[in-house]
Amino acid sequence: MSASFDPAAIERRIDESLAVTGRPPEGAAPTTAALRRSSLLTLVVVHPSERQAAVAARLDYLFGRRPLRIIRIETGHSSPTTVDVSTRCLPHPSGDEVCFQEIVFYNGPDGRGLEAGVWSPLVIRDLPAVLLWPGEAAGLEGFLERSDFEFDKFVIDLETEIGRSAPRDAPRLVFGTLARLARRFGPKAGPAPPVISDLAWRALTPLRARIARLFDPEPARPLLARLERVAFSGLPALSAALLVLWLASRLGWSRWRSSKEGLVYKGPDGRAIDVKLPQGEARFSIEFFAAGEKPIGFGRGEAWNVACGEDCLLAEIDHLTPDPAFNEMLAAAARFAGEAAAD
Amino acid sequence: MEENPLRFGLDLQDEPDPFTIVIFGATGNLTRHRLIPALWSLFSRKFISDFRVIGFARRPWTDEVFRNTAAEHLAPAPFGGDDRKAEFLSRLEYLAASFDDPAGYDKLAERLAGGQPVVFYLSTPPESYPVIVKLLGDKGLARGRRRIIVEKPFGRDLDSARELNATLLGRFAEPQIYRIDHYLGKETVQNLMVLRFGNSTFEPVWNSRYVHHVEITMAETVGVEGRGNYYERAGAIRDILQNHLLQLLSLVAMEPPSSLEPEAVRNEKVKVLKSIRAPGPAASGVPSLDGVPSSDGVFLRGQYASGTVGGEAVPGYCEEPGVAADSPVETYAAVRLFLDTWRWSGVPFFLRAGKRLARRLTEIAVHFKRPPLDLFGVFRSRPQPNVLVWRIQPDEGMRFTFNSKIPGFLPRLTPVQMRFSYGGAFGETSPDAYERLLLDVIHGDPSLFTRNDEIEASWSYTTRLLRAAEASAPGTLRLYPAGTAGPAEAALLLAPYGVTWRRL
Repeated sequence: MSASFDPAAIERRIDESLAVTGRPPEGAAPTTAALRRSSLLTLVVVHPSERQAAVAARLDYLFGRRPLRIIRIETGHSSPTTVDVSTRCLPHPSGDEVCFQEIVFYNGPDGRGLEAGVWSPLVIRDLPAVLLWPGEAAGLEGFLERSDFEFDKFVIDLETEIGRSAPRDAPRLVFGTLARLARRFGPKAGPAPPVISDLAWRALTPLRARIARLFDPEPARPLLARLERVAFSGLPALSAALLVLWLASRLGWSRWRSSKEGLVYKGPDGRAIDVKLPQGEARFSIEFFAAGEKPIGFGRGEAWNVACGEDCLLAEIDHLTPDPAFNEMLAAAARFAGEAAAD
Repeated sequence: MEENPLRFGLDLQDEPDPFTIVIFGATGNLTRHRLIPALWSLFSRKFISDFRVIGFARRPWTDEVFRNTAAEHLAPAPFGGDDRKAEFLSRLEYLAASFDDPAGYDKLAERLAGGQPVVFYLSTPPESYPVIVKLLGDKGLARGRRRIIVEKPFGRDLDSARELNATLLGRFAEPQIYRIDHYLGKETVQNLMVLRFGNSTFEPVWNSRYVHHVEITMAETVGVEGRGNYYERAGAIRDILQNHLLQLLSLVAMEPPSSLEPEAVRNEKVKVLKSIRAPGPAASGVPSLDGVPSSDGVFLRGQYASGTVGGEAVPGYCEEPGVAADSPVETYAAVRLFLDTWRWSGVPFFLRAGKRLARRLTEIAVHFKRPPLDLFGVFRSRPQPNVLVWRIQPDEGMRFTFNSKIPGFLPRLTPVQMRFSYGGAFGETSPDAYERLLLDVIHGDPSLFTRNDEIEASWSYTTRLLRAAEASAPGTLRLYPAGTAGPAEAALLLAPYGVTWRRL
């Protein structure tokens, strides 16, 4: 560990480490340190020290799968800021090695680790830079204002902020957080707003695909315009809130309010749409009810914990382009916030 | 509502509907070494879950024997999942019947009752294709959600390919037919499209103005590996050139498609194959190319003699089991061809494939022209041509050779390399080609399969080569020692252009 933040010295320490890291597979030519330096992108991770284990688990999944430079800023330490450098490589059957270059700032009360002048010279120029922010969104805004660094993508995790909230509070918190993010990342943020995504949203992709599949058959399609009720059971509150916002943004619902069961929306034709939110049921199901039609949906005999698996982060760093559905949700959240203010 | 609004932004491939795959020739090597492992990998990684495999072959095996044989070839599941092996194997069934026995197809029809999608995989000698296709049609098994995968070789020449196409199209519609060339399932081959059409840098120089010549090489160190009987009826032209090499050629030379829709891509590939200039009258005249215009398409055939490969002494082709002592079959083929298109006018394409060569290697090398003015010649330092090499196997990736100044007071140049390696950039291994292609068939995506007119266009060219070979003078089949780069005379194809083959 060192208290010297000279970028050139840190780069030298990376080179020294790469020169001795890794062992070529049998019969393969030794990989040079220069090749071990290959990276796809720089991943900057800012997180409180108590989340170190969770963050490490996510990063460990990427090890051997993508060569990365990782700049991790661990906040909440009581001693002055220090920096540590390490590298690790995994041999690939092709004879190449896939390496991590890890630079960790243990940010102390002096706040040096969060200073852009300390960490940003270590971001690899000409390659994408992604910020992983597994903390509260409010802190992200503060960090960005202080660093003024242009990331190519921001990855947040609403699970950290909202995952343990009460089911009834989840929609309000999700809508509020996304509305705040929309100001910085939404369509009104400029002609080319930065790319943002959420790990909790990514985790919902298979479930969204199953829901979408319900309406693939032509006869089922018109039901979407005649929905009167959507019922979610046995699902985490955050997942349900995100799914509701997704449906609202895609189907043109507006002006929501709370109800005894969950939420009530107004459809494009003025029709009320009741949304039943999960109440801690033991069984998972999602059902769609349209006037005069049998409900359609699917379920299973146990609750479904839609958690972002280890591969979530990999999917995010492999997709550096905007997720149009998520951006629509940001816009919808901002619109709902505006409507609430107008009311 | 025209489109499903909930599909917006979803790029996840759905799990396919429950399906059955019927493998004809289920006791063969392809099934054991490729198809079953590919299905297992798809299952263990949860790309497929609800399916049955029915092995159809002559041997009097039971379900149990089929499962036990399959079990021997299941690799450890990636990222865990080995506990699902028993479940996977329980999905395997066996039906013992001759391919020409109608009663076997009656039994098959009973097992396929229910209207689920079915994929028929013809993993049999090509002689069996007609009778299998005919009986599937006669028994009504070609109707509905049925697809058929046909392995190469797809015919022996243009006439037989047309005949086979007619047989298939007599029972199945073209969209039901998937002619497989596993090379197209390789990640690096698919990445050719990305390289060319996903980048703006290469396409502007991808033409006769900047490209001097293109080399496509598929070199193997192995011999016929006990398949002498098969190879005696095939040879390098039929086995490799007609399919793998011409597919790679079409991907390198095609115009940008209007979309990635299967038909749009295949339309452009067919145009390339149809634009191959017919070989000249002295096509197989090597080694006496004197007087042959350098703009003529020519080719050379070779056959390996005994030699040393990987430090081991190996026999010559004619000493291999199942091979005639005086066999005229080529184990090496090299061609010079031209495409009569605006883009490629005058650019020679050199293709070569061979067995028992010095190195196992498949690559495409695009050689660019030298700078028009030799500024550095006065310093005895002529720039070398830029070369973009797309390595398909092994060491999948790309290399670009360009000139750089040697440190010092004089502007002396030396070629240096930029290197991209799939393994170093993405630690994960790519899906096996069969995994990819099987999943595409199950999903009904024919993009990476060969259409009937592609087959006929490629045979149209290769049949001319075969006819020329048959008519050529004795002695034009050149022997080369195993473990070398092939016949020395192959250099004559490139000689008029002042270049040589890339070193193997």
